[in-house]
Amino acid sequence: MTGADQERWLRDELAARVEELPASVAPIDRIEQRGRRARRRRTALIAASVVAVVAVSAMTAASLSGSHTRATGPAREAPASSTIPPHPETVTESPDRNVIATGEFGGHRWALARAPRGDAQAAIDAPGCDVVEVFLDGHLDNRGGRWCEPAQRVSPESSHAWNIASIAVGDTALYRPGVGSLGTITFGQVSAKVVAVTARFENDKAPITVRTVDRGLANGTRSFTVQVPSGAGYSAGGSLHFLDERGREVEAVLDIGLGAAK
Amino acid sequence: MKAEEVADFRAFVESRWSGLVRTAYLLSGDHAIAEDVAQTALTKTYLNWRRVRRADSPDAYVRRILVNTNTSRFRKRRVAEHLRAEPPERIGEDPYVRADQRQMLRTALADLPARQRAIIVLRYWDDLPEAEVSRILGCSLGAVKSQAARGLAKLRVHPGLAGIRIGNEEYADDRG
Repeated sequence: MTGADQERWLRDELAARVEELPASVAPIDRIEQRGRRARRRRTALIAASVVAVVAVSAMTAASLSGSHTRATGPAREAPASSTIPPHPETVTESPDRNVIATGEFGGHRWALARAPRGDAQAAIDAPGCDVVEVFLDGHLDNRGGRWCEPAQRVSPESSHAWNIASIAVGDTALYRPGVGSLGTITFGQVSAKVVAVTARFENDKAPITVRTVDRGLANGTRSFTVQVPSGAGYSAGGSLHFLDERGREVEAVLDIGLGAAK
Repeated sequence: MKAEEVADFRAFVESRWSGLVRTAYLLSGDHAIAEDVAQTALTKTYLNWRRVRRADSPDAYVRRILVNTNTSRFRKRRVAEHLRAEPPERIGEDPYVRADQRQMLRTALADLPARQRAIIVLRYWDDLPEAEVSRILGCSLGAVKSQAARGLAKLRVHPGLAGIRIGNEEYADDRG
């Protein structure tokens, strides 16, 4: 058989294969709805990233200028110590700090906390939202992202209300002058029905699955944090998949920044 | 987006949906996955619609997204998707031969590397010129030509397709 015959045969066969497919109606409304949702998430993440970058830049500038005090602005309530406190827990367990999550990253203890209401809250100009502060080894490391009250949300797969807090997903860099970039934390607040969250990456890296934690948050919602280390080959982009107790995916957030690609 | 842009997008989806699902079906081998991939590609297109609708070829853009979305899915589920054909039986002359051939073609396509499969599908199903395929996939014209030739060669010697009769000829007759 000649090359032209092969090509003709292949064209015919491919055409015959797709003829077997049943006709389907374009789910235009669903696509548009997904697009609008993705756009809202992208806008929120961009805003959060900008805040994080500004905070890191301010910290870096302060460090380079020889000052160990924090950046100006809404950082007044943060620890005033110019060095790493000997007992970092005293910061994260302080009653005026509303801790969202704690963990350890490469031997460094970190804590995410809502900044006290006031200047910090006003800075983001979003009712019901708080600025998130990041403590690394008990030192105020970064101020980035916003943490908002969970919103009622209806799962697209059914009419069942999952109460997934779609807006309570953010990410922040663990960076500290003198220490460098450790990685990123993606954090969120989800329905009580979500028991695990899987982060998938755009490259070949294995997914990271974490269990959600009950921290006594409003409406019985649970929190999660995904740690993505720097320099480990994770792509910056990816998606989050929320799983119920049976391991079923009840919701997903696609095309978001997850990790530290460097 | 403005109402006019939304209306444009909806018209675009309506007119392209069927073709995109079919292309995705040939890339993925599964109808449900194909619809999912097409939806994801169109959702991503929505995000950039303002820019896409001004582009020379929105079709090229959405096809590129479609191929990348499918490739990304394939990477994530590599193990699950890495299916091999059972040792093929000699195909006889019976009423089901054509259906079997198509099944074999599906298996043979699935065995091609993702990029090669995309080139074969875009070239021989979507019937796009090589230059357009290279633009969609972001590779050189030479790469498209060579990968298309290699893909065809692999299909030619694939055990599932060996011996398929086309008219009076056997598909694998000239492989030696």
